[in-house]
Amino acid sequence: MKIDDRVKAAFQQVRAEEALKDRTKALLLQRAQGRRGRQALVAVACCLLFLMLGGGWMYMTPTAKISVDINPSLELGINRFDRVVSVEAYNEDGQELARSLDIRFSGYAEAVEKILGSEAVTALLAGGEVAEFTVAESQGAQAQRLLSGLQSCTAGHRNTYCYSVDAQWAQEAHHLSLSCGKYRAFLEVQALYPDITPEEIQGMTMREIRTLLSGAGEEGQAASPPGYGGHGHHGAGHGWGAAN
Amino acid sequence: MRSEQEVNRAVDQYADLVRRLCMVHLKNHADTEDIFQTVFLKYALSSVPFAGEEHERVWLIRVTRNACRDLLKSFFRSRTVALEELADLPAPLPPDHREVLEAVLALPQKYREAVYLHYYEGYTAPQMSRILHRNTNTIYTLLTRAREMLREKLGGEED
Repeated sequence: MKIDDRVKAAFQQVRAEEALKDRTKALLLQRAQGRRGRQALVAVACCLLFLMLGGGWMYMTPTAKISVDINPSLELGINRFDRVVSVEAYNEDGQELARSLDIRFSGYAEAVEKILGSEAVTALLAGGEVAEFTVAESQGAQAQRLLSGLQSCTAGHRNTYCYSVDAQWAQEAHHLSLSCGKYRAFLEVQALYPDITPEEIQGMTMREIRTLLSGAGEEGQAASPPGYGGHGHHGAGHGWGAAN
Repeated sequence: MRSEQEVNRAVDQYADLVRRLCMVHLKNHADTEDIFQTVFLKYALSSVPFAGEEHERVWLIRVTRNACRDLLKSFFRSRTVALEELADLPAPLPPDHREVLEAVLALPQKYREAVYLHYYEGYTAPQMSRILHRNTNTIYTLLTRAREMLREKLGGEED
């Protein structure tokens, strides 16, 4: 027999033992299951993380604003769950009022009640100042809900007014460093007094602005602006107003 | 990762190939089992698409060869000597086959691998040069010398 054939025949005798194959298959199966288990665990962890991040983002993103203007000017960022996620002051009085309140993450109604019940605001309203609440939201449904809630919250307080405007107003207002409520007032005053500046409006109380507007009405320069005197309407820039 | 079915098929189909390569490279059964499992674990985890059975076979030859070489080069192995460095031959083996296998395994490493791939697997020198990444002439030389050494040990007829 040739060497080539002898070598081939000899190697033919070497076979992998069945036990070795079985142990290897069992080990591979065990590793695969462990790996699949780890992959499933990682997938679940990723989903949870995604949900947490997504939920956190949804919770922390304001979908509406409530502008509170007396002379302290504040804007509350309201999320889709109607909770206050941000408080932004638009003047020094506003900063002081914001510092004195703990309203972040509370429901908007509770936040408004705390504002109206605060020492500073109670004193201002008692002194004849005017508080205006302006909801800015783009979808409509939340604005209706918030406006309705605000009207209930402010029902027992004199000299309080509630309005609703489109969210686009918020961008324009912030561009002029005004809260939505002050911006709405600014547009109304500007219609009567074209030379008025945002800075002048920023320094005025809502009562002073009202006096200015009603004075202009008495002088016959223009009709009484919408939203004042207890008659409001929806949309078209000026919003909806209701007086208490 | 490959399916359990695919991996089991590969184990059944290539177990003998891997076992023989381990025998050619290694000298004890514990190492053989380690390499055997390492090779098929790599196969299971690999996502390499195979163009056909031959491609798959060559991939396994290369992986087994590299795994054996890595083991032999490892820090621990390079500083220790096994108590029983016996050829890892199957226990019940007819005397003639045992004699041939012992003669093959007594060859230096570089000849053993060439002998197995050529005489048993049937690869030509150019094919082996691609599998082993060595010059074709070197393969011819290895085969010629290996044949001479085996003939010296085993005697036998001229080709």
